[in-house]
Amino acid sequence: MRIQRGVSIVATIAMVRQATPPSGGLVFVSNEAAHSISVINAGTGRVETTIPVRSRPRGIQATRDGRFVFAALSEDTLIRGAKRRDGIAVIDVSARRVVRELHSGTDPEQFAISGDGKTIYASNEDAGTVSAIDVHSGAVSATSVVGIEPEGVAVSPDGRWVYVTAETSNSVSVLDVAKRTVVDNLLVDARPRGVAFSPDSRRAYVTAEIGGSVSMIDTKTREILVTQALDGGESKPVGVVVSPDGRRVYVACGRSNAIAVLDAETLKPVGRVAVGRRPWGVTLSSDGTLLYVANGLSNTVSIVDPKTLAVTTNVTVGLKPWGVAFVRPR
Amino acid sequence: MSAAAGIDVAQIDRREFVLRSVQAAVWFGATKAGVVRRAPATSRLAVIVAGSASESPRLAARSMGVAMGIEEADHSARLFGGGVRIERAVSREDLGRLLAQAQRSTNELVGVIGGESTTECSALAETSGNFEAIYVNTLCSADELRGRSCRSAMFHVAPSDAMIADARAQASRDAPAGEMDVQAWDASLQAFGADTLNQRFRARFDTAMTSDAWAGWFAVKTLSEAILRAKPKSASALIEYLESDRATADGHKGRPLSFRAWDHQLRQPLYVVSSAEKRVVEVPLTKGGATQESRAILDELGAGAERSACHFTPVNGRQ
Repeated sequence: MRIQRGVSIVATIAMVRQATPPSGGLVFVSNEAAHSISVINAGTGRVETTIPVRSRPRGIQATRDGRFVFAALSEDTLIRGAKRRDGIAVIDVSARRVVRELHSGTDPEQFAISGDGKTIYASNEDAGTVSAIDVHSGAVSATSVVGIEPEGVAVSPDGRWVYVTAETSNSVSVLDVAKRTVVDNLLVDARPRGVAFSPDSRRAYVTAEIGGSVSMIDTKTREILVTQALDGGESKPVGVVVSPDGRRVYVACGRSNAIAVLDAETLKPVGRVAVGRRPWGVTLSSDGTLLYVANGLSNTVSIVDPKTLAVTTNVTVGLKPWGVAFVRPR
Repeated sequence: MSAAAGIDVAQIDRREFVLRSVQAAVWFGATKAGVVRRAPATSRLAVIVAGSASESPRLAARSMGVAMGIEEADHSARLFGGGVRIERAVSREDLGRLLAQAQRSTNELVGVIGGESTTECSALAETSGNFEAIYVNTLCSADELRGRSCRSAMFHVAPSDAMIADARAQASRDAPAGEMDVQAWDASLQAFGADTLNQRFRARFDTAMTSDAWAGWFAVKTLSEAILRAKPKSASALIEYLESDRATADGHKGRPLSFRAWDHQLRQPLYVVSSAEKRVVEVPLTKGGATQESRAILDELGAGAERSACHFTPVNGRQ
């Protein structure tokens, strides 16, 4: 897909610039309260289509080959004794519709897809476990005990580790993919949420919402190297993503209504971008030239130029956008 | 020190101080979890709760909260090489025996949860201190317990009368309303994991989580987390940690919660529930100052250090 010139179509705040040509590709946005997925054309910044899903979507990820997007679906209310209908919707990117649903274990919130696209690791929020799901058969191939209220899940780019945060236990569990078992648990600041790896898999970055901080973990020694408070510990950091060159860490700060830009080696803040209200999910285009931020209370996605740290466009999506996934042009 | 000395409560109405039940003891120590690393130096905690679940709705609610707190503390502690053991005592003699037993152990710390009246809470705090245990007050709101009758070994999860009055005053300024109820928790709360906690509680007990249930749950959580984080070697070390700026815990209220060093009261948002409008207002109100420092905001409720009448008496050699 040829990159098109940026035209701001739907802008909800005044700070809109058109300096940078946007990447090609698509951005899929899970709208938690709208029970839908917005598909933004990354070239035009326009919502191309909206895909309905049957319940509350949160975690959203694209396969590396760009053919499928997976979205975790949870029931809205928990009724005692009632059978839950949680799952992971499989969206065919070309067809722009849900083509299948995987059983996920209960209450999936976030998940990660292995590099080969064959396995999904999903946190089961109300069970304190993480499930490995075989995408082909749909069967749960392994379940491991992690902390209470597991949330963030990430697979290291080298495929060796799966890290799972847990909000109530303040823990990060380390799964060894080859051994299919938890080999370590780390205690981090209060209410850990997001986790992301550096491209070389040497570092993992974990946000702590109530601790108001980001911790950097050495994946070899599994030591916490640095913990950096953001905005005096009051910023409510949630989503986190690392630039493809490994030099920057972008953190969605829910209470500060901003993205904090950190040096990936030291975690020192080096920049800041004001976005919409309660930014939550955050992702980068595959070439790292644009940053996409789901603003949960503004019902928008901010598109940010990481070079100039300016918002290029604010795209109106559905109610309570939660997560964003970038699908590279094929 | 003998068990009898530790529970000498002759000055208190006997009926008042019948320990209606001792519900639980939590022990971190077993290493049944598959993965054991970074085990804390002090790995065991006993929590003893006084009060029968059947005698009042408040005790029943707290009992459920404590039960869930214990289950969750067990789950979390096992990730770090800990474990949970529950014991019950049916009398104050049992309490004394358990406290004395625990005190002899070199590798555990003891938390006591119980009491519904000011007299009970005060007596349990004294007994706990005598046995090098920490007493966590979950139901008693009397300012006196945070003032003249404060104790080094006593920490208050229950909001004080002063906090409740300040909360009511703030909410009235904002929107004068009729009947107002000030709560430490509300089953309709959603943000910052409150929905998850409410759902978890309802799924477990088929009833709504009340303030008293939350207090029981949080009392266990805050003690167990403090032990995992600080690895204290003694009750004094645990007290010192809980008084420090490093000690914060997540109570699913959206702000880091901490204890005031000067009177051991938990800083926490409160919820003013207007019965007429069925509206829940969080206090302190934080208009435009969302990222203001949490301690400063939460200290708007209750007695500040300068107004405090608390002067801690030495406990176990600690000033």
